[in-house]
Amino acid sequence: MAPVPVTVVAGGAEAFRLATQIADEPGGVLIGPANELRCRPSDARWIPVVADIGSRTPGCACCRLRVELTAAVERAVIRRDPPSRVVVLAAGDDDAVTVVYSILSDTDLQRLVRLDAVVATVDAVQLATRIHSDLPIATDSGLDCLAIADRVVVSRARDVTPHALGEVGHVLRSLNQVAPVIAPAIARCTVAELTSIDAWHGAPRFGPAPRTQSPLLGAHDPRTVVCITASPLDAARAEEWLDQLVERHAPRLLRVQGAVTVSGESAPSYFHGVRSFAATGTSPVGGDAQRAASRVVIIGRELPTAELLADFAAAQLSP
Amino acid sequence: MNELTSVGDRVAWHVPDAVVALDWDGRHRLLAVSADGSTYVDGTPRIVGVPGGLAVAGCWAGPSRHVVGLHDGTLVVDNAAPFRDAPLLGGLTALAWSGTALLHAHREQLAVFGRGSAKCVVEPRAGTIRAVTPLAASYIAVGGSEAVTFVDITTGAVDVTVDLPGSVAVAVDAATRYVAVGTLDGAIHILTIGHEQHGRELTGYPDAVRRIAWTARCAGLLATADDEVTLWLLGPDGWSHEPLCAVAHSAAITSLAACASTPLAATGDADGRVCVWSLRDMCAPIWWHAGSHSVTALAWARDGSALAAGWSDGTVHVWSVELGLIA
Repeated sequence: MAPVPVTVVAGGAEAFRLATQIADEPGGVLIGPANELRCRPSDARWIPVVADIGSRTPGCACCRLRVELTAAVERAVIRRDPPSRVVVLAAGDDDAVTVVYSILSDTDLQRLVRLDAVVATVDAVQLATRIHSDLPIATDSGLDCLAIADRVVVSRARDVTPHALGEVGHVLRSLNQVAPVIAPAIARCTVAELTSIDAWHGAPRFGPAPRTQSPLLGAHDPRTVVCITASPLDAARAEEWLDQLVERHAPRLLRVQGAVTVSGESAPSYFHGVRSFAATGTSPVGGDAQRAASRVVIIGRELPTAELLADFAAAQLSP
Repeated sequence: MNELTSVGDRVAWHVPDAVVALDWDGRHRLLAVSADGSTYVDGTPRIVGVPGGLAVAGCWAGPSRHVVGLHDGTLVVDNAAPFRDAPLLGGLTALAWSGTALLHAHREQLAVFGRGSAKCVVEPRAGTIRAVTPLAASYIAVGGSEAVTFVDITTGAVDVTVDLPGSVAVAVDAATRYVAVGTLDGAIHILTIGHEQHGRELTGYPDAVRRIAWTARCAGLLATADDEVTLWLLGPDGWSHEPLCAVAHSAAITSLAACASTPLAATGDADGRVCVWSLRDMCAPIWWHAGSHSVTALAWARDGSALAAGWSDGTVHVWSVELGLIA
């Protein structure tokens, strides 16, 4: 059985509406917190999860959710007619990064599902209000979710002024260089644009960094570091660089994804990871248009940007 | 015994959805539970498709009835006239028959259906309950996210609590001398009943130990890790220092069942392969069967004369097993 694609949807109240909309497409199944799914308790396509606070291996944050999430995915996927898509709603205490980490690192989940994309939702009115009230933009887990998302869906974009919407957009682009920002109220968005993205395998996708970082983001808020080089990398130094990246910065790493051309290899090597987990990825279905370049996207908090860039540059093959 | 152990094909049938559970009763009848809530006894449908239901467990509950647990906590009991119990406490996490009472766990609470359908709710204080295993008619072991507890279900009293967080599998040997607990951090804890605070830890697994089973006559303990089967032997001098390891699957093992009356065991994997092992020689399986969908359930008949297997496509196979010499 081929792994079933999983879309993780996270955010506020809008996330529930979006997750159910995606899951209500034919062949969809929704997994989410029990208190969010209680409006349809007997629907076999809605499978509740209760994060188990006690199930904690010392030092491991993902164990809080892992066992319950694994059981829910098994129930959803091991069927005579498996679903075509699983939607996991990360809400409340189940932050998106923990959900993604569980999906990527658990051996049973790796066999059953394949992470397709993370979709974060933002309420434009709420965010604009917080900006103008000098309140924190979001909780730490909320910022982390926005930072790793592959799509950011902004709701109620028409309910704020263009200036406020611009501020919202600036914050989002400063937080996330990967995800297109979509405002359905302004430009129609279909479910298909949020699914079948396969964003976590293959080469990282990213857009240009904003000219200026939003002043609303502090030094410890998530940032994106993009490492690019046109030259092939030395195999041993590249591997050492990745090992040290994970070993030294695991607690601060929210997402890492790369496509590197290594000397002696005919095809690029792909990898992805979250926190302390990193794994080899698969080549993209449509090929890699930029295969000559090596590029790694690192998203995390308090990352030593200059050190990462310098070490990556040092991994290039000596001329 | 001069014949080699033989495994012969006997019968096959289909249920509408993935096989969730298989269970033999004392009269050699096989219960098969389908993910859509249907149940079949020896191939004959009993409960047909619970609307909106997603079955997660099922078992015999007495000589003439069986029960299916749905994901929303509903129980459907077949007792000639099927009825649906009201959803209890939400989210079924474990289901078992103690011999006199039906035990169903919902998160941190355990509901006990005794004689005459009288019901009481017990709080084992084990965290989220993951496994319930009867030790005696009124005494059970409960494995949960925070601890393993031993509960007297007639009084609801928690007799013993062993602080063992992250339990994901619990198994009791047939002689009820030991309780094995598989944990999230890749270890198996062996607790001696009556001296539960003093146990033995078997380590070395790369991931959570979700499948464990005692062999016949408590000669050892089986556990699986990815595609590997491990057997820890218990001898006069105690537990072996290292387990016997065998690899005969090319995909992750998804099911494990040890025969309670013969030195045989069965494993099934995500690619559909079923292997039968002789515990006297773990070098290679003595028999295997190739399938095309994930094996979801395995069950040995109580006398060891038959093995049933279920797959995610709803196929149920039953083989006759005749124990002989192991080659």
